[in-house]
Parts: sequence; C-alpha cells; structure tokens
Amino acid sequence: MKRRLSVLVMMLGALLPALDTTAADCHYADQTRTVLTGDEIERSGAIRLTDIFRLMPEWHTVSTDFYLWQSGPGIFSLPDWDGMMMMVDGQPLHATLLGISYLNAYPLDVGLIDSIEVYEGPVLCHGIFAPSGLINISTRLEDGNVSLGGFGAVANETRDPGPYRYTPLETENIDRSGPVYGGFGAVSGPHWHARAYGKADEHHVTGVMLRPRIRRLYGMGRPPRHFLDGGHVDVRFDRPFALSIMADQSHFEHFRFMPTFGSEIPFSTDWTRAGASGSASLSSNTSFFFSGEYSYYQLYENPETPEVPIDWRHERYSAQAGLSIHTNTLRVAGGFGRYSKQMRGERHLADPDVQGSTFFVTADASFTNQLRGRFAGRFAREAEGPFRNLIASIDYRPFRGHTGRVSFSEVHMPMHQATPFFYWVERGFAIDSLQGLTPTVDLPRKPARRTSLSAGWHWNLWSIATLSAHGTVAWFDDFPIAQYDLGFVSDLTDPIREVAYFDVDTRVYPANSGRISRVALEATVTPISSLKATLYYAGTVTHDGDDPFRRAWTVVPRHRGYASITYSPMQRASVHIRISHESPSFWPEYASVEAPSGGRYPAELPLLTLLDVAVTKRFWHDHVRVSALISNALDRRNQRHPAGGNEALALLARLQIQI
Amino acid sequence: MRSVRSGIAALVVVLSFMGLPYDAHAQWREAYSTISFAGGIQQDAREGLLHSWWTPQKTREAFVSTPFYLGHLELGFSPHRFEPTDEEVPAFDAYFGYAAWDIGVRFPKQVRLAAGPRLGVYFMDFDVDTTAGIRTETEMGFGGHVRLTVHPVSFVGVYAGASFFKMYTYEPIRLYQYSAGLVLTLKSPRWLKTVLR
Repeated sequence: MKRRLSVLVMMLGALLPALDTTAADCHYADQTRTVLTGDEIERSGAIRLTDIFRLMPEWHTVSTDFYLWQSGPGIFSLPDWDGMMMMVDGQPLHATLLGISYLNAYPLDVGLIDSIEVYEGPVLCHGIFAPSGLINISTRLEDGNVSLGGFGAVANETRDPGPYRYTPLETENIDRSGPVYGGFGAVSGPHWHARAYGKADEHHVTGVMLRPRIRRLYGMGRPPRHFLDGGHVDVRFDRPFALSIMADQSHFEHFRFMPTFGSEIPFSTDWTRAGASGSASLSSNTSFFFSGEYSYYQLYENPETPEVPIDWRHERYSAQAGLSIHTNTLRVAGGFGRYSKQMRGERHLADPDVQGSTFFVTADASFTNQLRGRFAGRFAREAEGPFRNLIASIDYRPFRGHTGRVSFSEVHMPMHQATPFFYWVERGFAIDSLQGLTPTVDLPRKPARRTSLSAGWHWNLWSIATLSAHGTVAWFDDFPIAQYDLGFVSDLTDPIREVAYFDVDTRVYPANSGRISRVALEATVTPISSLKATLYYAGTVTHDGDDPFRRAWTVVPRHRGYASITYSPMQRASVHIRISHESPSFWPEYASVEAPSGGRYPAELPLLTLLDVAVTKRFWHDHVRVSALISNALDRRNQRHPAGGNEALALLARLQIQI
Repeated sequence: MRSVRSGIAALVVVLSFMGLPYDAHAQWREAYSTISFAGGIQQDAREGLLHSWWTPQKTREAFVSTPFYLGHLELGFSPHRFEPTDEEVPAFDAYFGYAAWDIGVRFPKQVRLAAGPRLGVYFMDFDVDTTAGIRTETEMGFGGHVRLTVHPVSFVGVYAGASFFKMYTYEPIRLYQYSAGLVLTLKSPRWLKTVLR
C-alpha cells in the first residue's frame, strides 16, 4: 500500500486537456504513487469501483449508505481546491454530475481492472495535467480472438426489520446496496482490440433518517431506489498507428438533488461521452499525437414529478495535438489544444461558460550521469486571463546511493475551477454536499494559486533500504504552510512496492500558530509465497494553534491503524482479512444535530474497529470467479462522519463468468 | 435455547478439530472427485422470538456438495413458510440460499460425521406490501451444521443433522432445525472437475 496519496473521488477538476499517448511516465513534483493491482482488488471482495478506496490504509473513506463513498486523502497531503482527476486507460473521465465525479456511474466493472495508479498533488501524466492528483485506471485486455463475459453482484447491509416490521418491534428500514450486473464482449486481432461493455446498477435508499442529512444526489422515495445503466465501447489499434476510441452512455433514474436543507429536486439524467486518442511515428525519434473528447449531459425532471421542471444541459469538448521527440538523453513533448464548456437550458444552476486554448510541454533530460531534470508545464488562456501550471524537478546523484531532489510546482486555478471551499484538513471531508457539517473555511470564489517548493535527500543503504529527509514549503495565496519530514524506507522488491517505511512529518500553519505532527509506519511482509501481510499505523498530534485550528483537527483520530492478511492456501483461492482501527474523534459541527437526531449523529465518536473478511475462488481456468466479502464482521456501529451511522455488518458477493 | 446453541457450536468446533488431520491429508488429493446431491425434510427444533407471531411449516432442503481441499464444500437451498399466529401480521415465504464448508471424521462402513459453518442470504417474500412499497426483503444469514452421513451402498446414502442459523435483521431471527434425507453420490465427470479446478 502507500502513503501520502490523496484522492477525492467525488469531485473532479474540470477542463484539463491534452493526451499524450507517447508519454511513457508521469511528471510529478515530489509524490510517491500507489499501485493497486487487479488481483489485490479481486481478493478484497470489491464489487464496485468505489470499494477500492477502502484498500488504501491512509485514506479516509466514509459512506452514507454503503454505496456512495466519499474518499479523502491522508491528512498530510497538501490542501487543494479540486478533487482528483480520473483517467481510464489514459483518457480523462469527465463524467461529473454537479461537480461530482460519480465513479460508480462509469460503465466499468472491477473485474476489468488491471491496475490503478494514484498520484497525489499536481501531475502531468500521459499529457493530462491534473492539478490535484490523479487516479489512473488501466483495464485488462483479454487475449484471444473472442471473449464474452457477464457478472453479477449483490450487497446486503444487515439490520433491516425483516418480518418484525409488522410487529411492535418494527424498526427503520436500512439502506441497501442493490444488485449490479452486466456483460461484456471483446474481439481482438494481432494489432487491434474492440470491446463493448454494459452495466446496470440498482441502489436502494430507504433510510428516512438519511434524507434530511444528505444534501446531495440521492435516489429514494417511490420506488426507493435509483437505477443506473450504461454502455461503453472501446476500440484500439496499434498498427499502422496507435488509435484508441472510447464512447460511453449512462443513464440515471430516480435521483434527487438537495440544494438546500430540506428541499429536494427529483431528476433523471443522461451522460454521453466520446473520446479518441492516438499517435503515429514520423521517424525513429519523432512521433505525432492527438486526442479529443466530447461529453454531454442533461438533467431533466422525473416522469412522475413533472411539477418540478428541470432543464439543464452541459456540453464540453476538448481537442489537442502535439509532437514528441526523444533522444538518448532527452525526451520532449509539446502541443496545443482548445477546450470549451457550455451550459444550456432554460432552468439551470449558475455556472459560467468557459472557452480557452492551451499550450503544454514536458521535458525529461539527463544532463550528466549525475544530473537529471524534468519539467512539465501547461499554459492556458481564457476570458478570465492567462493561467499556468508548472511542475519541475531536478535529481542530483553525486555518488552511488545518494540522490538529492529539488522540486517545484505551481497550480494556478481559474475562478471557475476554484471551489469556494478550502480543504485544509482533509479534502475528502469538505465535499460541498456536507457544507456546514465539515471543518471547512470559506474563501472568496476567485482565481487561486498554490505554489510549493520541496527538497529532499535520499540515501540508499546497501540496496535494501532508503533513508530520506524531506521538506516542503507551500503557499496558498496568502495562506502559507510549511512541512518537513524524516523517513526511512526499506525497499526489497521494486521501486513501486514499498516493503516498509517509517516516517515522521511536521506541518506548520503560521497563520494559526499551530503545528501538526504525525508518525507513520507501514510494513509489508511475504514470509511465504502464499501469504502477504500489511501493517499500517499513523499517530497525529496537534501542537499549539488557535481555537479554530484545534477545533478543526479534533475530527482527525489521534491513532489510526490498518492490518491486512491475504492467504492463498491453494490454487486460485484466497482469504483476505483486514482490520482497521480509529481512536475517538470529536466533530464540533455535529454538536447541534446530535440531539435532534436522537444521538444518531453524535459529535463525539467512539473508537472503532472494523473487520472485513473476503474469500475468493476461481474456477475453470479462471473463467469463473467468485468472491464473498463480509464487511464489518464484528458488526460495530460505524458512525464515522460525515457518514452517518448506518454501515452495519454487510455481505457482498460477486460472480463473474468469462469465456 | 442457550444450551442448544452452545451444544451445536461445541460440536462444530470439536468435530472440526478432530477432522482436520484426516481431511487435510485425504481430501487434498481427492478435491472435487465426487459430487453429492441430497434432499430431505427439515423441522424446527425449538421456538424463538419469531414464533411469537409465526409458526414455521415443515419444509424441505436440498444441497450439493463435493470434497474440497479441506473438508467438503456445499451449496444449499431451503424454502420456508411461516404462517401467522396473530392476524395482525402477514404470512411470508422465505428462501435460504447458502454456501457451507464442513470438515469431518470418517469411520468405517462409509460413515462420516462432519460439522462446519454456512453463510448465505435469506430472501423473504411477504404476503402484503411493506411500508416502503415493496414486499420483499433480503438479509444475510450465518450459521452452522452438524451432520452424520452413512452410505450403505457406494452411491446412495442417508443423512441426519442439526443446524442453527441467525439472520441479521435488527431483531435477529434465530432458527434451530434438524433434518434428514437421502444422498446420491456420484463420481465427478471430468468436465466438472475441470470447471471446479
């Protein structure tokens, strides 16, 4: 697993163009990355894309209903304005709905995932600039001429009333995560691949207590569910030139948008998205690349509630092209692009139209054997003025085993991208659907700039461990933050999969006269080939600071722990056990709602220990895959905010058949 | 109630440990070598909270099992019918589908005493709509069983057993049952072993 990674799935940055399919790696200032493999995801018993975020020990993942997950970064990721960008096979996913990246809406199943990479902070990857980090999902391309498959999954959260609903023992119905099912077909040749994919997803939200607490998209009422279906087509060639075309269509029914407390606007929506990217070699060291994307979504009233008219259409496109040149010591890519976002309809929420042009360039140069520099920049011009995003780093290796790195990043956000909430504790907890309930600080909606400078030294010890010291200073307009840390990393396998690390961080908030310290350690051991165990612990302490500062940090548990064991005693079968633990925390914003909710949403949360057990088995040469996950096996009452208190013991089961 | 539950639980644990050495060696080699089809009748053993309003009817059960690397793997199904004892509540049908794993001790004369846990879903279909406008509900169930199987002839046998399961409704439903039936055991065809492996 990994550290210092951030993700905010539900919100997504907007108009960021460019797709360089020739880029072999990602440019980022000074972050590590997380890689989750498809096997790890399968063994965890995940049935939906959003389930994968529970596999990140440092992330905070909360759910109001076991279906809509809000995932936040670790507390020591730098504050940011936007959520992470999502990419699938190198193409950006802009399936946002009212600013939310609704991951479950994407017609992609967990069974198709080959790997997921996550970057914290600004990154330019495959030509895409993501100012607040990136989640890049790579799908699995099956070998063979023809493959067909289908899958089905069910999830059931316990504590429904059952037959007792008709007796004096009647209790409230519990939200249920309904079935998800779909199918796919793929055809491939020597140099091409085509895949079609469809998914239907049903979700029940019947908990009456949740409705007034969640000011966000929700499906409920009659029938007490929302329904999602979608289709996806993916065609790729790699000769005579590389070309990838993807098209998606999704449809929601029975959603409800709650713009203000107590009000509901029922609606349905359609999403359409099409994207293409490709490259062609012009010579042995020069290639041309291009990409384009078009997306359209429309909100309209539910047929059963025509008295609430809605007419909101959102259209956007982007197109860009460029050249990539590489030699033995230098690789340079650059290009131009255009993008546009337009709102249409008679009754829509205020959101400005945006048009702009962009120039982007990346460079990776090895000046000498000891010195390597990387640079990525994006320069955009819009009606609001010019904006630029820069990432640069220099690596210096004076002698064997020692590496120094200085990195710089600047993220300049146009006004239409800068949200009015400043996530200074945890981005994931600042989702605007929970405004008023989260520790956020409102800032004027204005163009915003974040600049950070970091330096570190890494000492490789006998090729089995790395000792590192690292410091970062960041400015958020007039809100400075400084951070420094010392770390020890033992890396016995490869540069991606850490075996163990120990890390001490301190962050200073001069404006609040406060400091936060954290100690984190993680270890992964594989004593035998069939057994893998991971242990993670993070302890956080607040020093000094003014009242708002201390109050904001009380929501962060002082101790967090995570342990997982994956055991594969026989071929194609595994047992995965994970335990997560959080010490008590205090949420001041909930103090006023604790009594009205009958204690269901308390300000003070007790310590929590969650146990998940997953069993997976593959049959028939991997053609049949079965998994079952018992989530929260100890049946602890999980009240982590802003979740609410309804994640009880649950069973998730999934079956996939592929021929 | 507590004594019945404790007795079944203790038997499951004891038999599991007793059977571990045997099944660990013998069945590792013969995983999926046979497939057994079983069916029988099932009867409630004792009353619980649910019986304050409903009376479970005598019912049936069916399962398919095969030797696994350790013990036996089993998929089963059991329909239940609950008739109300109070006119204020509706009757309902329930269907328990489960996966089970048991480990056991083998005695001469093809006798096997086994015990293990089972996990499944309990689907309830009420005779009237629920308050949310739907008439069905599904809940997770977890339990265990103890079963004695005797094969007088190589491919036909009889079994008798006791089981306990708990449905995780807000007020849990606990059912204690005993059952008996016939078992048909066949050598697994090659294609089936290929699929299972």
